[in-house]
Amino acid sequence: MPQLLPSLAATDSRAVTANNRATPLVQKLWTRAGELKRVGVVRTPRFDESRTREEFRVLKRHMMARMEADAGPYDPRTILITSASPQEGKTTMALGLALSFMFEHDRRVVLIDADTGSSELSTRMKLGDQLGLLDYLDDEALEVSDILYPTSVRGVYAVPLGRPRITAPELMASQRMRRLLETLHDGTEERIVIMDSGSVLSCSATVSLAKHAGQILFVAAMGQSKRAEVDEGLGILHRQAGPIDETRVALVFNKTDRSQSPVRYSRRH
Amino acid sequence: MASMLDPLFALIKEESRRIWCYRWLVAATTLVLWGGAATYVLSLPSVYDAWGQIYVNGQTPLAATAEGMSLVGGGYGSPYVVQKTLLNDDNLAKVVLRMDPTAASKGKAAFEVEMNRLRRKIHFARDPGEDFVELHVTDTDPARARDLVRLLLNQFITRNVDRAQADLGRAGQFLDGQVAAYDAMVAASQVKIAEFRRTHPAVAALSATAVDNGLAAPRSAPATVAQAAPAPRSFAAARRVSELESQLAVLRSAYTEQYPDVIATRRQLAQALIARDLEEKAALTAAATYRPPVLLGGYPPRRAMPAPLPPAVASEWNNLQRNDEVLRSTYQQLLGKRVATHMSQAVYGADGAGKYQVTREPTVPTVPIGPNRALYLALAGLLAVGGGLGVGWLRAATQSIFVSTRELEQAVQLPVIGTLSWEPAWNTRPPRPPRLARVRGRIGGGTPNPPVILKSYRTTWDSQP
Repeated sequence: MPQLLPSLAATDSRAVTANNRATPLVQKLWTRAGELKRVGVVRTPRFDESRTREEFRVLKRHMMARMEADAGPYDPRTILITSASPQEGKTTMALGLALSFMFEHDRRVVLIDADTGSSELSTRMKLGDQLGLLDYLDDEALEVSDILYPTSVRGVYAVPLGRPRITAPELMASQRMRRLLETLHDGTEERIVIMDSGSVLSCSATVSLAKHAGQILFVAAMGQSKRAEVDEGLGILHRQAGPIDETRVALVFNKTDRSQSPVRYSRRH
Repeated sequence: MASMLDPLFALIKEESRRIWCYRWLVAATTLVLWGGAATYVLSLPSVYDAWGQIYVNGQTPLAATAEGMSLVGGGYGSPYVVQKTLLNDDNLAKVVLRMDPTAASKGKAAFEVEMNRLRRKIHFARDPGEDFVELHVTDTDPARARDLVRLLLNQFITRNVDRAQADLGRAGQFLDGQVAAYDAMVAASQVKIAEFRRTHPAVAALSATAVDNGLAAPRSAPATVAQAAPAPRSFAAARRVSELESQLAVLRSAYTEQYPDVIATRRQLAQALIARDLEEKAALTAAATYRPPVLLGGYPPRRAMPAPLPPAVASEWNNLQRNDEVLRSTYQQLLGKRVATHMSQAVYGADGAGKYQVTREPTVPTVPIGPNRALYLALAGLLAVGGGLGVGWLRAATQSIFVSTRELEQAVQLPVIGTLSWEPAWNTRPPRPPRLARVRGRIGGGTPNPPVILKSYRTTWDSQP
């Protein structure tokens, strides 16, 4: 198989350069000259970094433990983040997890925006008008490197959604999607693919993506997710995307108060 | 103990979280409830308390007439009696009709409602140990409250004076009849005694001997001798005693035993009794030691003593005397009570001023006594908060939201591998510009929205190896 991602390491170093020293003017020059792809901007809100970082680390450790204990038919390095209903924090979860995985020395993270409903991830990374996942799945001529964008964070790459299509669920359920994931996992580098999908009850493409995912992270927000909706969402996944058990699906309780956090004592630094 | 309470604390914490998730609903509900309650409380009319004070003697008007008899109880002037007398349907109906002459035409039910409403406005107060009764009427119209008090007091006085006068009139009629009957009986008794004396001359002689207390011999002596003997002065003391007893009976019919005139008369009567006893003893002694001058020349021929009465005649004579005495005594008492009744009737004149004194005329109150709006608003606030919390809890319960990882795990039977705390800065959407700026942007003018500057992980995380 050809090296589809030879540029990852190269763009990585350039991204670092852009991160540390780039200015908006330099970015514009790079884009104008066509030397480099546009760099995705990873911005997160200002919050209690130490606490949030630790909370993401807890999640990451669980997921890495599952990767090491892989014994099933699904690749546990492919992580699908979904929820029952919109606005429960899937995109923020995907970004936070990506940044947390970035700390691992020998791992790279590919963030895929697969939310056909809102494409929030692409918008946040300012890649909304770029070629993306749906373009790749629909156009055989495109290669993976055409839709893979370095970001301002070292080790984190982004795949935007691309132009919306009415056949998005079918495209995501296609073999090309499977091949894309295999390609992303191929190589010597340990790559983790995080797919930010839409909510189960509002986006049927999520079920299609779930068939490819080794780990499904189901987000429920405190005071927002309703029991009936969570039950129904998990039921849909179970019926249409293979068995739902604790080896493949885990829940994350989002938007909780600090008293429920596993990190009890934290300070800003 | 703490471990036993842990589940309870956890439950309280979860329910608090559940309500907190709907805090805006709670706040809105509280605000709406409190606003409604506050509007209602502030729209309540002010209530004024008009009151008047009346003096009601605790003694019944029939006290003098019915002395020694339990015709009425002791609670004649108690607030309870006054209240029951004043708040009976008859009185209230009259007052309602005076206040609203058209009330009778509204139907029986509406009229009773009006009466009950009036009854609820009235309450009584009394100084402990005194005979002053305060009548309070609360109303939203101060002038109407004053008028109600005035009407009620007038109604009470009029009704009681009428009743007292009627009672005293009936008592007077009864006493007049009794006096007339006893008058006839006393006259008949006198006739009987006179007839008995005529038919039994020995009774007359014996009576004279008994009356003169054994001094028949000196009285039967010649005039010169009789004039020289000491005069029997016990008759004057006896008359004084009789006069004082009669006067005391009259006073007791009108006054109590503690009345100063009664006490003074009793004292005079006691002195008169002592004086009478002393004079009687002195008269007996003088009679025993007296030696008329004619005895110096020898005793006149001894006069024969009257023969003793036969037992049957003596017994009948004694009965006649005793009956006469009882009749006279009762007759005197009846006369005293009739005088007292007439005096009471004079006291309870047309206005009853002698018995019922309005010691404070009702006036128009200027300061309202209620409602206590501050207290009501505070209570309404508490209730509104409670209502808001209840609505929030109900909303959370019907929505069946998750508020803890425990609930989530139990519900879906899948592991919850972590939690993420909510941070105020999680919202990455740019804030909406002010309305004016949006309008400017829509019409093409103004400046574009400023970029959102958010701290990036970049500076922090890129420093990691």
